[in-house]
Amino acid sequence: MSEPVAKVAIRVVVNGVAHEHSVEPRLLLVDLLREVLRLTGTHVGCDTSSCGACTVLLGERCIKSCTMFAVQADGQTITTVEGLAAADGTLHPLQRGFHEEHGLQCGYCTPGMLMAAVDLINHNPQPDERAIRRAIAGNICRCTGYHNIVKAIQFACAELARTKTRDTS
Amino acid sequence: MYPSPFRYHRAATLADAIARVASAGDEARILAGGQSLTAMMKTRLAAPAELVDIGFIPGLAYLRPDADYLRLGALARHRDVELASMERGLEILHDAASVIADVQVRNRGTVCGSLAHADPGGDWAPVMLALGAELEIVGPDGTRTVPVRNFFLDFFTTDLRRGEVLRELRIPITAERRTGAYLALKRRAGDYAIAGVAVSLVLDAQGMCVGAGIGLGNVGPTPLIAEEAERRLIGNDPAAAQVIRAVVAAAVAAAQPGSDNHGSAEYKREVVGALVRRALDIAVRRDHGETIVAYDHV
Amino acid sequence: MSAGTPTQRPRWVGTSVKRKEDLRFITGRGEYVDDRAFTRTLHVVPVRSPHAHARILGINASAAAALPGVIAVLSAQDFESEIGPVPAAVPDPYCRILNYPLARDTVRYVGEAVAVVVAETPYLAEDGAQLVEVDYAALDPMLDPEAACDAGSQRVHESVPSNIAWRRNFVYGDPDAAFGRADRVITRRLHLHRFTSAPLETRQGVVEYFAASGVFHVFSNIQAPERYRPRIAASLHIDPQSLRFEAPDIGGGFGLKGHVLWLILLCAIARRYNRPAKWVEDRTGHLLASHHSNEILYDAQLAVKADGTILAMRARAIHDEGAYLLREPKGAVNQLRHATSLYRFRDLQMEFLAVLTNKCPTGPNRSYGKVQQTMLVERMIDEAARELGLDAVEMRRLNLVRPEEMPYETPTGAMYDGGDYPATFQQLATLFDFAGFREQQRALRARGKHIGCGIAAGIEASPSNAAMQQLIDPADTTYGESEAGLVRIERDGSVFVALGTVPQGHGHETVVAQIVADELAATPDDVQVTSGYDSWRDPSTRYSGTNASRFSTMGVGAVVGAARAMRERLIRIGAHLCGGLHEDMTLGDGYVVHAPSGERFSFAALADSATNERLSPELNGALEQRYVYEAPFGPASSDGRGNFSLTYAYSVTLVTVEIDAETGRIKLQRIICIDDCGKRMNPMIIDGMVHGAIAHQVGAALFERIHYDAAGQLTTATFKDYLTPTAADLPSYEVHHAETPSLFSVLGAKGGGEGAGTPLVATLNAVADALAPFGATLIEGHVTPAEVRDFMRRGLQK
Repeated sequence: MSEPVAKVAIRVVVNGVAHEHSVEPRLLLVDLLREVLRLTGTHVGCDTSSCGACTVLLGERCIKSCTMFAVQADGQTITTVEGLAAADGTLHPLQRGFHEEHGLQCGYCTPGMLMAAVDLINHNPQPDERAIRRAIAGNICRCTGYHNIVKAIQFACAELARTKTRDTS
Repeated sequence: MYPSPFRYHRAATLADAIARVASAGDEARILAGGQSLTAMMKTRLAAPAELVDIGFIPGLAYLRPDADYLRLGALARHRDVELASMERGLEILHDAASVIADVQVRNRGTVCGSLAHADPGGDWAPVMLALGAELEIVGPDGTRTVPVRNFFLDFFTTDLRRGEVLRELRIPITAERRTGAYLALKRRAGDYAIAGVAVSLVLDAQGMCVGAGIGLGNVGPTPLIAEEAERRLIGNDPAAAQVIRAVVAAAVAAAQPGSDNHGSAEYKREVVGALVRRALDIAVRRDHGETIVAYDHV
Repeated sequence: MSAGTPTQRPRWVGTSVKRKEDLRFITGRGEYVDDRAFTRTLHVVPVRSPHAHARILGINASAAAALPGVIAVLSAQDFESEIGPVPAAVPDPYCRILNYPLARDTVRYVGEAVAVVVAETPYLAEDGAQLVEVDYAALDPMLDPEAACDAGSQRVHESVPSNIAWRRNFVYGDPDAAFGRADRVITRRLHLHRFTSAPLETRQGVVEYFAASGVFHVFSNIQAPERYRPRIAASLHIDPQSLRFEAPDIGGGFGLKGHVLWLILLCAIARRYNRPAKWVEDRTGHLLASHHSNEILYDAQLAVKADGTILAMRARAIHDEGAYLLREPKGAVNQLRHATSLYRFRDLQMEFLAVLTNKCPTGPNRSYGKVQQTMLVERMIDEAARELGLDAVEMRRLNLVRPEEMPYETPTGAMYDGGDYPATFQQLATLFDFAGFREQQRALRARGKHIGCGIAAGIEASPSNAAMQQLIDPADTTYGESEAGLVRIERDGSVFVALGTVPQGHGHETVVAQIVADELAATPDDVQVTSGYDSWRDPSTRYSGTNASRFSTMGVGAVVGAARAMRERLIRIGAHLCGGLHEDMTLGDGYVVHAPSGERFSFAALADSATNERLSPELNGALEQRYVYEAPFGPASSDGRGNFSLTYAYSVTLVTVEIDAETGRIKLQRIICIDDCGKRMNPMIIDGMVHGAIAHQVGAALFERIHYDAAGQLTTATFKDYLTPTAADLPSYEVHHAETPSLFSVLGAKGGGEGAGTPLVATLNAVADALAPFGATLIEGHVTPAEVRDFMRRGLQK
């Protein structure tokens, strides 16, 4: 490629904040988040779209931000781990679950796990253990053996069910 | 880790995309879900000079049945199929959708894109072969329809000509009694299948088989149709032991696996035989009203 | 010097306090190496050899260097005068195997770094790397470690006489005589394959050079920076004190993060260009060229009586070390520490050969040396039980060291610090109905279905006495282990703790807070523990770091020493201030209290008095206590005996599997692990460690295998091909505990959580048990569905 490639203007809403940038087409979405927006909570752990450390929500769906170009996210809404807690800092039930159930050790896979779990509970609020394990099968962890991550997600589901019962009673 | 530089064109319509690819020649690739292409570009196995993004074209993300077909648009995602409530007889679609890669990939990857990519280990191809699906292809020379059975030519090679794009996948809907199953043996959840087997049956009022489709995945340079095995089913009871034996033998004979880290050719043939037998069994039991999670049987 | 004893019973140690470090991780505010922004960073990307063995004829970097944004393309020649080698840690002449960051005239494994591209962005650096043309003359690779042992075989390094870089035969007791008394000798060849702990965060580093002061700020996820300080300094001919090491949050280590050669290179680049030099290893690079776990070919013999009594063991262990020795053959001598495992036999011979091949070097991975020894002992016992027609569990029970023999000195000189092995086996029997399983197995076999049950027991020894190096090189008489800790009471009365360990997910901030809270009668919330490691902030010794499970002994020893010294000082200050007696003073809730009068002084008040020098000369000064904990280690003896660890944790794991007879698929059913790592300071954290070890080691048995083809190409160079298991591939675990406090560590905790290899071997034993009707002998440490089918087919043919 002899001449530099034309940049593309994109607009994305990340964790509720709109951003406009002019980016190289080949800029990976994960690098838009980490390098341009300095949201370093989303991580990179592999080269082959295998590990899920880069998982974020695109709209309502969890996706691997390393396997998407920033230009493909133009006009879309993204939620990263930094956007999971409420504006006043109140932790999401999943975040609480990971803390209560010791669902993390080194913390590197944790943001990706959390975002994949958000997608899960959004469409299946009461998953059984097998559904949980399948929902996070795209997220590799090398520290926990997954045992407590499953419990963390179950904790959150139980808490959300209690809240829902309270709200609807 | 990072792709080579490329030009980017966001297509407004499919016609625009086709025109763009036609003018760019061999240098341009279509970008839809990007789950296969992006991965290849990151390892620099692929380095197209231009990507033509069809991901923003409206009206392509449908999954809808009509009188004749279940139609999937170019941007229908694996996940859309996984989450759709499947009418009876098409559980096979859910069987495949739920074992492709992982949720993240399924949320972006498209069914049509996967078929066009033609990885021999892909889960959709054997299913579409078994279902007798068709592909609507648009290109610089117009529109044509190709049965999936004629679509896969060689290793990662399809009948798509330069500048053509898959616009729609059509799965024939039948009023008849239909059943099926897809099973894939994978070392690890989400891997490409060591071997995948798709069985689709149409049964008459007595439960005899009047139509059969058997697709085999990753046991050849392309997904394969086990034609002789299909013939052994027609007019026969798919639950009868001697029929099953004959079908399994014929399917195993149709497989052309190679040896690799996951096993010898002999082993893979054994797997094909096992999966065909089990898929037939699941299909019959589903026809009797049983709810079965296919991947429990692998 | 005694650090004193606590006056009250612990309130926090032993409880499952939730982790203090969690908040930043669950909100995405952890700081890992790649997260910190530097200005004017230079990104460094390697060009890697595609050949397993080749001469480098030339490097043409003109196209790469011409790319806008590429600053330079550098090879070994560019650092000729600047970077000296790190020699292999073996005796002469094999110490002539030199380690450099970049290959010089020869490449010796696929993936070896030949050059680096230095560019303004990582994307541009990769563009440049793709354009570098290296001219190679390919040579035949030496891939078979046995063939590599043959005299006259092609040498991996021409500077040395052979491919056997080190060998030593260790004999304890009289194995020949013991073999003479045997009713039966079980002879087996076993092969433990290469795998890798593959932390999710790869190895990374940023080095900044400050010309005015000559300081190199090394910001990297390295596990034990102080151990590398001398080597980095020697290589670069710099003052060791000019290195500042900073380790932030680390995304897993497991022994893989010891990338001293890369840090040397980054230092040189940072200094040359006066800009921060950054390297972020990609996953392919990590799998190709970090290091793999020890790959071993065993020829083993077990001498047994008909009743199952083990008399002796002999083994020749060929370690396939790969192309360079950076840490090896440490893995070999690591195995010796606990070579007789949980068993009482006294006669042992182990011969090790460290053999060079054209593969990636091997080195520390989780359970370094222990998984390897457990593979040997536990497979041999299972094989022996099968040959003798004995129950595998009962045979083990027969041979266990008894609790009344503790502390038990093994034939190799290891001093086991407690453990009731028979009780643990008894505990296992209450958790698993062996008789019921055997009945079920029989019934299912009759129907052509195959289930299997396997157990394995193993020792985790930690920490590591530096004297182990003496086993490799008798001329090296270094011995010992130490760690440093510091407790400070700030002006506001808050408690600050720093130590030399480098956590990679271990929860040190929480456990240290628990320990100090107990010593100072505070709560963990009152105690602030530094995160990460900074050599300008934290105390350290030459051994500091986190590896080999050393925190539970060494880190704890240092922190307890510092905290007890602080408590003593606080009490003395309080006594001084109120004129009370030492024995009337007590601590509680952030106060020192004179019990008889109730007069009390806050920590803040004590800090104020001390800092403002209103006390006596020996009590004045900043309220800070440093402590160096030295493990009571001595040198090795010339016959290779010695106690090379302080604590010996152990585990017993049971795995049941169901084999799919048609596809060979191995389905994990139950995984039960009983772990005794002494006093558990935080049971929740220990459980988490055990879970992780189970996943790694069951993973290694069924999913993870590093594989080279006949040309020396790594076929498992990505996570698509190197199969790290997912949550959908593993079941939940049943983890239970025995808790025998160590007789030798400060709080009775033992280094633990590495698994001792028991989940791996229990899985193999379970598969072997399932396939017993087919006469299958499992030689490998890894088994695939295709191989299961092979066993079944061959068995049916007989």
